[in-house]
Amino acid sequence: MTLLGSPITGATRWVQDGRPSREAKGGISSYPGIDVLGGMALAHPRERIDVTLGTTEIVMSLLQEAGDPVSRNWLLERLRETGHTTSRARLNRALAFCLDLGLAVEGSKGVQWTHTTSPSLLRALSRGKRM
Amino acid sequence: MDPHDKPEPVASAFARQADVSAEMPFRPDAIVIHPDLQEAYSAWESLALRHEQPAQAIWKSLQTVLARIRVDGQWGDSIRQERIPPYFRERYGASNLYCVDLAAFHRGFYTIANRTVILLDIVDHPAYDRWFPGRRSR
Repeated sequence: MTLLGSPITGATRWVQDGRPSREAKGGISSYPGIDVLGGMALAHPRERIDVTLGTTEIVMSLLQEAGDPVSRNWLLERLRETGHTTSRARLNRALAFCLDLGLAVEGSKGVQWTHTTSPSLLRALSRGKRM
Repeated sequence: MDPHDKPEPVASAFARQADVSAEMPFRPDAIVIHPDLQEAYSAWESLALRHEQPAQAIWKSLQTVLARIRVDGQWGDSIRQERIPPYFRERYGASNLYCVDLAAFHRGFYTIANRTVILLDIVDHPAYDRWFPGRRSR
């Protein structure tokens, strides 16, 4: 792969075997100093991965049953074992739904279901001294 | 940037960003003292302000632990579901429990409810041993 420069514009580009490199075809910035990605991202927004309500419910029930912090790989494996195989992107979308609603948290130890209906804990949330 | 350096593929740059976000710890919205613990917490605080030991050491270690929990809500040792003492399930309805080591062989227990950390109890070694008999490591 070689770097060619334009004598007129001063722009450079990567060329492989006399043709633009694969990165250049795919829209990767092969022209240093020129921001082409921002415009491309706006012109061709990525399709939003969609997920069914059933998958989301199963993910939620798995998190509730586990109770302990679990990894995304663990969730994918349990889904597969129970005959509800899904893709990682769909799992991520279902988890994002739970995390956005505050039903679960994701931290250093993994994803954990933290939604509570316990009167004692709800009382603490409303009346407890904040530090 | 050296023009002879091949630019980094965007896909790998996004993957790197995703890895970083996945490692980000959970920051709780707030840390709350459970009302049932409030009296004991105030007692520990007043003893520590009078420089009485071991209360002062315990208080200082508790403040250090709380500072860590503010940054990473899951910083404590996670107690497995089957090992959570019935005391915490029946009294507080806690579905998850974390334990932190304090000074003078004391331990603090907290739970995460919604996105808030709730400090439930501070116990000494005998009380801990009652809840976790024969347990050498969590």
